[in-house]
Amino acid sequence: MSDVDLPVRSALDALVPQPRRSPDWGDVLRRTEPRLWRRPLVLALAGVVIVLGTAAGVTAALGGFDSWLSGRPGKPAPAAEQQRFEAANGRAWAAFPRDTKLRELIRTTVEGKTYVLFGFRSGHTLCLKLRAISLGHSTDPACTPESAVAHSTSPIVVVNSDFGFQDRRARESAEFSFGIAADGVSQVEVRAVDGLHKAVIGGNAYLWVENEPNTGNRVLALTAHTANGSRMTISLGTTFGDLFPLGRSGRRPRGPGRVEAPIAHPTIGWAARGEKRGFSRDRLDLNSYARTHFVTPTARFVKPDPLGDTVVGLDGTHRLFVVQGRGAAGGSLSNRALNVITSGGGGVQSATVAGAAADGIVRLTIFDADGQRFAVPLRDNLFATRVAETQFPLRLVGYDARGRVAAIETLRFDLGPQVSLHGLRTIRHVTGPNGVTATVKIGGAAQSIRCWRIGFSTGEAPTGCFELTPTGPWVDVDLVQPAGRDLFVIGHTRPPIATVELHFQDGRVVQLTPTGRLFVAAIPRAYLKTARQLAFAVGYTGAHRVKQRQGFVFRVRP
Amino acid sequence: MAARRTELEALYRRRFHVFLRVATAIARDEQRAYDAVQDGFAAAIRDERRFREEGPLEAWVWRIVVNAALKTLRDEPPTDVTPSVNGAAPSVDPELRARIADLPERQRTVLFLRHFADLDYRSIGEALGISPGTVGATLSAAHASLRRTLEEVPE
Repeated sequence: MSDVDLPVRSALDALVPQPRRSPDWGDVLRRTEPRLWRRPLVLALAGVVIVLGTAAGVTAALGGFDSWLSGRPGKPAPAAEQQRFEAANGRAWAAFPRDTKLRELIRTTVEGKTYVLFGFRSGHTLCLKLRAISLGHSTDPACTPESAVAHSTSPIVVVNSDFGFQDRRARESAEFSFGIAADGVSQVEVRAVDGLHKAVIGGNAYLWVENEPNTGNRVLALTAHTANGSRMTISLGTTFGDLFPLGRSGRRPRGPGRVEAPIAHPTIGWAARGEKRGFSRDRLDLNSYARTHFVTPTARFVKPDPLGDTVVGLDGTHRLFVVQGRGAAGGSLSNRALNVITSGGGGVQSATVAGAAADGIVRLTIFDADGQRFAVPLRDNLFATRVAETQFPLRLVGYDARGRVAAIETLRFDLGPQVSLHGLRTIRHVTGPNGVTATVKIGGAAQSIRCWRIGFSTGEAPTGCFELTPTGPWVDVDLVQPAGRDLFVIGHTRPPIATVELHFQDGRVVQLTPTGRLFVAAIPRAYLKTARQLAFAVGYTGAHRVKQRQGFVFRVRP
Repeated sequence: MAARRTELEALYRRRFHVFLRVATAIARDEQRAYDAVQDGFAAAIRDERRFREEGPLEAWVWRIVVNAALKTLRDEPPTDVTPSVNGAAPSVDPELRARIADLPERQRTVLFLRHFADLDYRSIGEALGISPGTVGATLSAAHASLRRTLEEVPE
């Protein structure tokens, strides 16, 4: 209850009446579209993965992913780890079955820090989970559907393309990439901003970890080498800044395109009648926000796939919920025959497709972009499954008891409208202390977006885009780019920032004037060391008032 | 990250009108307020990794939306201090309206966040980047100022 005085309350109410506009979440999402893939470290997207090489028959020739699909990769996880996993899964229904067996795939030590990659299979889902023992962090399971692995034309299936841990000051403490490897994979190379690295191979998986990466370091591509001498490169299309300047995948959805027997008045009878099917919210281990503000106490939940980790719930005929782990998604039920919630991202290369099907739909099938089809677990009108992002766009098709197509929903995992990198103009050259030159090119503002490309005399050519909107940080360091023996800092600003200063730990200051909001600077020779260093990009207004200070970390790789 | 987005969506659906009302109070124009809310949530989705869970998600989003609303005010100052809500002219004492309009920006914003959004002092503080104590003092000052006006207005 507000403690505002009653007369003041009345005055404020009169002054600002209840607005009449309606919420439009779709509009919010559209406003994110051009810049949805901010921080590719977090949100690298498989939808743009470009596989280079002779794909056909590669996995067959290598023996494929048999150990994952039919056997047991790696070795049993230590008892303590298995118990920890069971305890976590046993807390709630929105988790994998408690008796899921964890396998230890890779245990490696990187510069004194130990990392363990675990894997497990539950039903038709294959999952990996990284534990950073020295750092005390773990990832949530990152999963991919069995179908994506079974039909992969690449000898590796990227499960988590690029992710990282941060320390308490939000500075990068580790960056990693992991996935599933076919039997014949002998080596996986990781090309990142800071150079070429070798991943560790083991247990039919690969794992690359880098401790204390430079700010903005990203995985650019992964190359799998096989025992028979072939190799295949998966390019992640990594860019920097706010936006992902690539267009839609261009793939077309497959499967039925026409509804044969539409459902006249879609309804879910048991929910409409108020039947208490499934279980209540109390059996879910929801985070506090979801429990307090989101998932309603009267909702009823069902786990469509007993071997999955996703539960789907309904509160009457109005609200639909999808719960995975401790987090929940949800929305209002429409009068469509299929209500679908798709979630994914976070570096994990799969998405969850879940929702509710109206009475009359007895079977659900997903048709993916490669022409594969697979059944979707459906129970009490509720469904849930996982799909690899590379399988989008999808058609989710509902059939009635007579086998007729009763409903179709086409699902995309698009990147938003294309942002052009054409028409960039050179605005300046920056030369590092060791002679490497950066040619800075920038484009005009289009759709409130501006893109850049920086060509280095040593061959690197990172690209990026940033938004010209009034929100967000005033100063943002996008990346530290190594080039030859030099290091460059690339970042952008927003008004009212007029100048940027780089403050180094010994007090030295490098002054910069952004051009078109972009700033590029070479790190002075004195700081080109292999020891990790912290510096700050400080943004000043035209009146030379400090507006924001943004830290960045960097070091030269030995 | 997917879970965070769903939390944002839930917050949006549950509190849209509150966000819009506060943003309208700040931006003094419903269309600009609507853009501030929509852009604010869009920015929250894009920048979700910046949310450190050191406070409520809602307070973090409020900070973004309030900044967006304030930005519209700075970019294009309103010609009329009366909020325009779909063309409806609210009926309120002109002197009180003027006094509210004349409140320092922080006082106005704290007042609206407390009244319309019903946020506690900590959440308001997190939304505005000030301490809960400062929230209390600011709110108190705003109340005092408005109370004086009310007392001066004959019944």
